[in-house]
Amino acid sequence: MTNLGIKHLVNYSRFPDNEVKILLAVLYLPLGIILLLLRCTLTLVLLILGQILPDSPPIQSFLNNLALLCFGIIVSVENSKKKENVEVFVANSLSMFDHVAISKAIGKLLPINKTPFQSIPGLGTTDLGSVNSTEAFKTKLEKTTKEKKAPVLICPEESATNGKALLKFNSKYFSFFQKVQPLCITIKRPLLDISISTLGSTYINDILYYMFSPFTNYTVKFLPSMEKKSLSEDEFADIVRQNIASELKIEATGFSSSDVSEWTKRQMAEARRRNIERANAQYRLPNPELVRMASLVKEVLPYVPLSAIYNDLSVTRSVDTTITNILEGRVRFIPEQTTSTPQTSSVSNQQPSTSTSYGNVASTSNSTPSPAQMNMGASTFGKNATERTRSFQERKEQLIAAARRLYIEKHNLDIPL
Amino acid sequence: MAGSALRRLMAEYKQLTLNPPEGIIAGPKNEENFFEWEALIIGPEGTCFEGGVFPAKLTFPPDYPLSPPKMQFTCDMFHPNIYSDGRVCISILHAPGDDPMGYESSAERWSPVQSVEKILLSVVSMLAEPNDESGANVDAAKMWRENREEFSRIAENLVRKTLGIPQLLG
Repeated sequence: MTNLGIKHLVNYSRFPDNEVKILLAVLYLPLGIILLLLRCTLTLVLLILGQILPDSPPIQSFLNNLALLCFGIIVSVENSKKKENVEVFVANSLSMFDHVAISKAIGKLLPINKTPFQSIPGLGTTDLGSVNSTEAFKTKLEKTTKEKKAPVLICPEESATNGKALLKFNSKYFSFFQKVQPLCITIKRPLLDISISTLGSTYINDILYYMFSPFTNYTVKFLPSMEKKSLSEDEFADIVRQNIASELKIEATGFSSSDVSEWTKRQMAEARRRNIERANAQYRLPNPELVRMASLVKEVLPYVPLSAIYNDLSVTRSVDTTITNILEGRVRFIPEQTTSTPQTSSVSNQQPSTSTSYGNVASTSNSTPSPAQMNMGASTFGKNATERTRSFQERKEQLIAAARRLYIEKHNLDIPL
Repeated sequence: MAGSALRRLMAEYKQLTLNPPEGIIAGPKNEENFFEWEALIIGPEGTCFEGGVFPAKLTFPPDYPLSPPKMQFTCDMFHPNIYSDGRVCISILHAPGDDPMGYESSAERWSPVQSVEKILLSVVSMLAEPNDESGANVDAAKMWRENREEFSRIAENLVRKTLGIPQLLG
């Protein structure tokens, strides 16, 4: 019956894919920012007033109007005369401010679906706990309706869509009421067509766009009230739903609110994974040749991290040049930990006195050699083969001479040095 | 990739020239063949090889550092882990999986993160603490276990020989 998938119930981008509209949005930007700042200030006032003013009907309605101003919401009612004196209104769900707009259309109202503003007077809804713990919910509901003497608003879809279709209703709500009046809301943002909400967007993000947009127009339309009579709660919920759907000329889909949140979570995870892959791809995929060259460099210099090798290779395009650059210290990197545990420890423990004396052999040759002076380090590394080989030969001879002298002195041998 | 082997060897040569471990020298005998090195190792203090200067030859494969070099002492040696022809038998000179003697279990193996310096330091350790389970030189292993005095005397004479000092008489 339905060709719509969950993916059709969510918007993906804030701005429409339309060059004229985008140009318009750019031109509107300065004005939008001024509006945003003004409305932010006003929201602060709203939050403060909400905390200090007493909770009475006229003040509720004042705060409600202030909230509409803060978020640039205009409410128009198509057929206010059709409003009946019922205890329960049922509406479709499009945004986090549905109940604020409907309060304006109806007057006194007790919205009972959870919203992010649970505790803020003027925006807040009545917290009755989860409808799924039926008994507790029912007791609280009866108590609050008696206290407040106001009709109840339920949004049984339990999560907002972009308005292209209706989600399944949670029929638990319909077990408490005999007679309900359905109403349809539609939201329009003329001119810029900025989406109310996008996939994975946060409440704060959505609210900022409310404040930025010139205004957001909510239209409320009352439908004839309906009675449960002998219907089961499931059947009643479904009839109400079909009624709203046909009035809005949209499909009533088989997806529930939890289907949507499940799907959204999956999409977000997918998107994150794709982002990571794309970031990696930028770095890895461009050139298999680079990968091959990097692995050659890594084989020779295993302690150099691949990222540093890639960076240099992408400039030099030559294995040998990169190895030279690394060996000569032109590439900055933090050496990678290798898993091997060098056997040097046992050796250096036996000869702990080596730490500082890296002296040139020539300077020590006329004093008594000690094991600590067996260090044959050269002060320079020759620039050509002849120099290096000569230094190597000299150091070998010095080492043997020093070892011989040390041995003779240690054993008090009567042999010329 | 002899080119990368050369560069790596040059880097190690430079490191060993400027900052060698105590009592160790190593470098190519003749730079016309960079794959053949000579090393001098001083026998570690407090062992029967103390004070000797033992020359050895290191032969590097063209795919160094992927494969390990070979090491062979060029002086007379008498040690449980050194063959009578001077070849050194320690785990760091074998790649993992390549286990001709079947005695190397958890010991450290060759990999490109090892280096000439680490090999030479391992050899110094080996001189200090022979592994008598290795059968490179069975006679030496047996004597090390059963007649330490005689072993020490032989070692002492080897030390003297490397220093050009007359032998002790048995």
